[in-house]
Amino acid sequence: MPQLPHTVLPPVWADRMLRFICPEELHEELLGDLHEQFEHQVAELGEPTARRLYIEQTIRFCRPYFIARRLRGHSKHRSTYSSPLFLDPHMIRNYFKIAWRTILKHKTFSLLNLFGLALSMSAGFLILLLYQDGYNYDKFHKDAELIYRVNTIATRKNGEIEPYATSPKPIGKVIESTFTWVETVTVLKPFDDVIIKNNQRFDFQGKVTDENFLNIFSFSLQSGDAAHALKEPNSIILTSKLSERLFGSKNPINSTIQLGNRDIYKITGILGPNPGKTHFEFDALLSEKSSEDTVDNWANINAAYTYLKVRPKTNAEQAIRAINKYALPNYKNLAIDNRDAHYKFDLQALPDITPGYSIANAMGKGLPSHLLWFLALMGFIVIVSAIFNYSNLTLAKTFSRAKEIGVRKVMGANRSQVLFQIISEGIILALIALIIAIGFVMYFKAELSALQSFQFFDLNVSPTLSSFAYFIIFAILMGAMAGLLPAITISKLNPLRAIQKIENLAMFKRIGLVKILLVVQFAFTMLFLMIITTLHKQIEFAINMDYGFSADQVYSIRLQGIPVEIVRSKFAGIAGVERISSMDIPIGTYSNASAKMKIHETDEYKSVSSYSVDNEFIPGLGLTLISGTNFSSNPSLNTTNKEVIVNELFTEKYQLGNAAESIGKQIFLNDSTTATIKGVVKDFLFKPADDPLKPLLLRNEPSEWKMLNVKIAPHSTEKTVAALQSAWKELAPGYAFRGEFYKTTIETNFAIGKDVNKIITFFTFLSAVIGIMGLLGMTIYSVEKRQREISLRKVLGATKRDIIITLSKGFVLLLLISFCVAIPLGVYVSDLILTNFANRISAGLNIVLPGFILISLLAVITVCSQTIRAALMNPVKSLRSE
Amino acid sequence: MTRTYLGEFEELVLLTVAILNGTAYGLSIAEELKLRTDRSINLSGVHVALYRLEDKGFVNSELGGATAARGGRRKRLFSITAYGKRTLDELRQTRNDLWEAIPNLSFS
Repeated sequence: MPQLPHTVLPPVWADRMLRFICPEELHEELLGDLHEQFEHQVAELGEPTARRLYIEQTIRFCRPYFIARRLRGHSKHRSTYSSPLFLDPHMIRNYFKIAWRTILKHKTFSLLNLFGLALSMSAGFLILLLYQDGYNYDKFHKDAELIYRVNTIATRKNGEIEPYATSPKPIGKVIESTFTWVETVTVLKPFDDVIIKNNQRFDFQGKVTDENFLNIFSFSLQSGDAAHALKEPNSIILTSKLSERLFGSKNPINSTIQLGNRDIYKITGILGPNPGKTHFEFDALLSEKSSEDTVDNWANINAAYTYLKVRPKTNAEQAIRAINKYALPNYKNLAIDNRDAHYKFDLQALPDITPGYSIANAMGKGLPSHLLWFLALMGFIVIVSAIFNYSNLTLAKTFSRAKEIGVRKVMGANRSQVLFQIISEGIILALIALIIAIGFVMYFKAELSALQSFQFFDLNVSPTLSSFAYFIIFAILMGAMAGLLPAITISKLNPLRAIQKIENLAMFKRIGLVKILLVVQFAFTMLFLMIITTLHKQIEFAINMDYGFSADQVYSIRLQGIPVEIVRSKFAGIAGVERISSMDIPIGTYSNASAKMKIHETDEYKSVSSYSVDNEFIPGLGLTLISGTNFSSNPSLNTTNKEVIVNELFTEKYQLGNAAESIGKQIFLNDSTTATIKGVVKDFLFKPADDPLKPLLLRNEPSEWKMLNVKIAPHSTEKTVAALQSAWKELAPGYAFRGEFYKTTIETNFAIGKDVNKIITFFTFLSAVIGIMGLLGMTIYSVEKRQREISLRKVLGATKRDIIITLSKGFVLLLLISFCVAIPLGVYVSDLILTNFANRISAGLNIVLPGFILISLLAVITVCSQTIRAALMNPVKSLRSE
Repeated sequence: MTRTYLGEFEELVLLTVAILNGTAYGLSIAEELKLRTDRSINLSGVHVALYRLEDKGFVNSELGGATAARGGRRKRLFSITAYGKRTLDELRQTRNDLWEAIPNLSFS
C-alpha cells in the first residue's frame, strides 16, 4: 500500500459533523476507519473524487442509530445501569405529572402564560384559517397545472409597469392556430347585462365564451350537454343560482329569455354549484352573438380573458417567449392607449392566480397574496413575543426550581431527560391554551366576519376538521418552541452548584436578554399604536375635511337607463326636494370620469378629469363660480362649439391666464368639436382625499347623464327619502332604488382602510396585552427575588415611597428605552403611510401622544400594583426565617 | 430460548468477521465484503451492524492496532464469539434442512 504524505487530509468540517452526530466513545474508531479509507481512495481515484466520497460517507453516518445512541449518551463501556430513554412511556408519564404539578404550584405565572399563549395562538389560528381559505381557489380543475392565463404587462410612458389580467381579443386565436404545444384555448369576454322577465329586471354578470371553456375547466352542467351548449349563437348557460332567481325550482332548459330590449337567447344548460372556490365570476355563460364583429383589435388590452391549456411537459418560459415573438409584431405602427409605451404578454399558471399578485381587471375575489403575507408577519410577531414571554417567565422562576433540577441530576437524570421535562411543560400549557384559543377564535370569527372587506374578499374562517389537526400541531410546536430556551438553560445546570448557592448561578446573566426582549416587545406595541393612531386620524380627516363642495343634504340616485326628464319631473313634485341636478358619475368616488382635449390645435390630446353636468350642478352642490357664467338651463344646441366650465387649477395648469382672462378661450375636444370656456369654478376636491386636486372640465352633455343629485330640505329628510323611493317604484317597477347620501359615498371610500385599521388594532391589542403580562411577570419575579433586600431597607428606615421608586426605576428605564426606539421609527413609518394620501395630516405629537400615554399608564399601573404591595409588606415576615 | 433475530446484512458481516478472525475491523470488513459480494458497501452500515452484533453478543471487540494511516487512531478489532459461531451453524443447518425439503431441485 503506498504511503502518502500527510498533507492530504479529508475535509475538516466533515469530521466535525461526524463528531457532532456520533457518540463520543466511537469517534476514535470511526474517524480512524474513515481516514484509512480516504487514503486508499486518494491513491486509487485521486484526491477530488476521494474527497467527494469522503463527504458522502460522513453524511451516511447521519443514521438514527448513531443519533439515538448519542442522545442517550449511552455507553456499555461506561456503566452497567441502563438509563431509560427520554421517550420511554414511563418517563413521558412522569414528565406530564411533574409538569402538571409545576403548573399548579405557580398559579399566577401559569395563568399569565396560559392567557398570553392562548391569545397569540388564536391570532395564529385565524391567520391559519385565512390561509386555508385563501389557498383553496381553483383546486377542483383537472390538470390545473397545465392551464395558464395570458396576462398583458403594460409599460406606461412614465416607466411604470402595470399587469392586466386581460389580453387583446385576437391573441387567443393566434396562439391556438400557431403553436403545437397548445391543446386548447378559450376566450372570455365580460358581458354584464340584464334579463327582462315579466317586466322585471335581473342584473347578471355574464361572460361570452366558447365550448372550450367547459372543456378546459371542470365546471359541470347539471342539465344540458357540455359539448354543444355553446356551439349555437345566442345560447346561454345559467348558473343554478341565477336559474333559481329567474325560474324557481323549474328546469328552464331549452326555453328562451330576453336580454335587455334586444336579443333572445336560448337556455342550453344549467351549471351545477361550483365544486369549490374559484376566481371565475359569472352568473351566466353566453355564446357569441350571430352578428358579432370580427375586427381584430390588438390595441384593446381590456377586451378579453384568454386561457390556454398546454400539452404536458411544456416549458412556460419558452411558451411566453414564443407568444411574445408572434404577437408583438402586431403592435408595429398601431396606435395604443396614449399613456402606454408598449405591451408584453405573460402566462400565469391557474394555481397562481388566486391568491396572486394584484393585477388590473382581475376577476373574482380572494385576498391578494401580499396581504396574506402581511397578516402572517403580524401573526408571527405576536406569536414570537408570546413565546419569548413564556421563556422569560419560565427562566425568571427557574431559581425556585434549581434545587429540583440539581437533585434530579444527582439521582442520575441526564441532560436530555431534564430538557424534555421542561419542554413538556411548555407543550402541556400550550395544549391547555389551545382549548381557550379555540374559544377566542370563535369569538373573533364573529367580529371579523362583520368587516366589510371580509365580504368584499369573500373570506371564510370557519374551521374544518383538518384545521383542527393543524391547530393541534401548531399548539404542540408552539409549546415546544416556548419551552426550548428555558430548557436548554436549565438543563445545563451544574447539579452541585444548583444545590449549593442558587443566587450566584450563571444563568441569571440571561436577565440581560430578558430585558432586551421586554424592550423589543414594548417598542413593537408603541410602533403599532402609532400606526393605528395615524391611520385612524387620517381616515377621520379624509372623511371630515373640506372637499370644497357642500353635499350634506344631497342624495345621489342612479337612473339605470330611465330617461332623466321623466325622473326629474316626477321628483320635482315631492315635498322636501329643494333642488335636482343631473350628472354622469358621482363626485367623491374613485371612479374615473375623463375626457380628452387639447388647448392648441397642434397639441396632442390629453386626458383630463371631466364630468357632464347640468346648470343646477354648481348651485346644487354649493360650488362658486369665480368668473363667467353657469350653463344655461337649456343645453346649447351648437354641436360644433360646445360650452364648458373649468376649475381654477385648469386655467393655471394650461396657462390660460387668470380666471377672468380664460373666459371665452377655446379648447379642442377629441370628438372633433371645439369648446368655449364659459365659466371658472372655484377649486373643489372631486375625488377622495388620497387623490390630489386635478384640473377639471365640466361639460354640458345631456346624453351622458346617468344620475340625479337631489338636495333634500333638512327638517324632513327621512320622509323625503321614503317619498323618493315610492316615486321611483311607480316610475320604474322592477328596478332597485339605488341611492345614497354623499356623506355615505365618501365614507365608503375608506371602508377598506378602516378594516385594515381594525385588524391592526386587534394585533396591537394582542401585543399590548402580551407585553403587559410579560412586564407583570417580570415585576413579580424581581419583587420576589428582592424581598429580603426590601425588608432590610425598610428596617433601616426607607419610606414606602423610596421602596416603590427603587423597585420601579429599572422598569421605567426599560420603558423609556423602548419609547426612544419606537417613536422615531413610528414617525418615519407614519410619514411613509401618509405619503399615500394627497391630502393628509402631519405626523407629529398628535400621533405619538395617545400611544405614549396609554402604554405609560398601563405599565405604571402594572409595575406599581406589585411594588406597592411589596412596600406595604411587613419586613418581619421575610426576615424572620433568617 | 428464542434465537436472536439476525438480519441478512448482519449475517454477512458476522460471516466476514469469522473469515477475518482477529484482523476484522470496520474498514477491513467493508472491503472484504465489497470484494466478495460485489455490492456497494458503506462504512456506516457496516459499523451499525457491528455494534448491533456486539449488543446481541455475537461478536467481541477490543481496541488496538493504531497505524499512521489512521492518524494514530486505534481500531476496534472484532472477533466472533462462541455464541455467534453456534448461531451461524444453526442458521446453516436450518437452511440445509429447508433446501433438502424442496421436492424437485432442478429449477432450470
